[in-house]
Amino acid sequence: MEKRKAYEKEKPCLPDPEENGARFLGWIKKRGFYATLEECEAYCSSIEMDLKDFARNMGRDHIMIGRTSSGIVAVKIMDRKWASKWARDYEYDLPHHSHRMKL
Amino acid sequence: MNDLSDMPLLSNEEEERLEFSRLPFGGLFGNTVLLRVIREITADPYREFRPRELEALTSSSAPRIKNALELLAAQGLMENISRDSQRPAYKVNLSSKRLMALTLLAYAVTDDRDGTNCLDDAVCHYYEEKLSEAGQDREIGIFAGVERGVKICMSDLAAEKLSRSLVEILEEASRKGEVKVQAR
Repeated sequence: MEKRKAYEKEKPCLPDPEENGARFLGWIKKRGFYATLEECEAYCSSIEMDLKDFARNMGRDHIMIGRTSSGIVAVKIMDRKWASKWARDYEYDLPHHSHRMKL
Repeated sequence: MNDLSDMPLLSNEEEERLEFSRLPFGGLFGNTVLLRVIREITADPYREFRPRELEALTSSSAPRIKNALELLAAQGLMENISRDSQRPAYKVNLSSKRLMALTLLAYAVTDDRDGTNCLDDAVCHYYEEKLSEAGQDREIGIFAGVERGVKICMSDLAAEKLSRSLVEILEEASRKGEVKVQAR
């Protein structure tokens, strides 16, 4: 079996979610790529990000806001590889990024 | 996108995944307030955590959040960085290996559910950054001359100690009037 390489060192594909978007992608990735809109908005308000704008700008191929049969609104990451690569690129996938500390 | 009927309907499988994702670590250890706080600090450990924000994020009451934060601080996973006892603010101990382990567990939970490779990728990344020869070389390094300026690379622990020391030095100097803080 060929040895796997993490993210194959590829440059992430566009669109670039930018700093806060990548932060959100890192957050939702650790929650399994799904969360309710209510949970997402509670998180996004804490980082001053407009989730609906973000979802619109990234496109439905990447992130989707949908609903369940019982009427719960949910956010789903459609392109996990895209999300993972950007979360890693902005260093939000693993907790070892001291350079982001504010002095 | 305010009207529900405009939104795409999730499939049954997607609904199940959503329900699974609503439980901390897929419900492996239950669904207590403490676990919901741990899930939040694992999901984004870089920000300051204030009790009121956590109440909204975890759908929990103030006393329970307070207990959870105090327990995590006693465990060394968090630290109260506020000098105002009425307005506590906590930060996560980024050098904790338990935090890293919890992050990997979060990925493993998704992998087991969906048959993906988030954990494998994260372990590879961790190895490349922390354990490999190249990663070890970055323990501390000062580079100059290639371009203008100086670049300093160091381990998380070294950076944390340095940042704390710098804050103490600057605060002390500011108190003594030896430095002026200028807004830019």
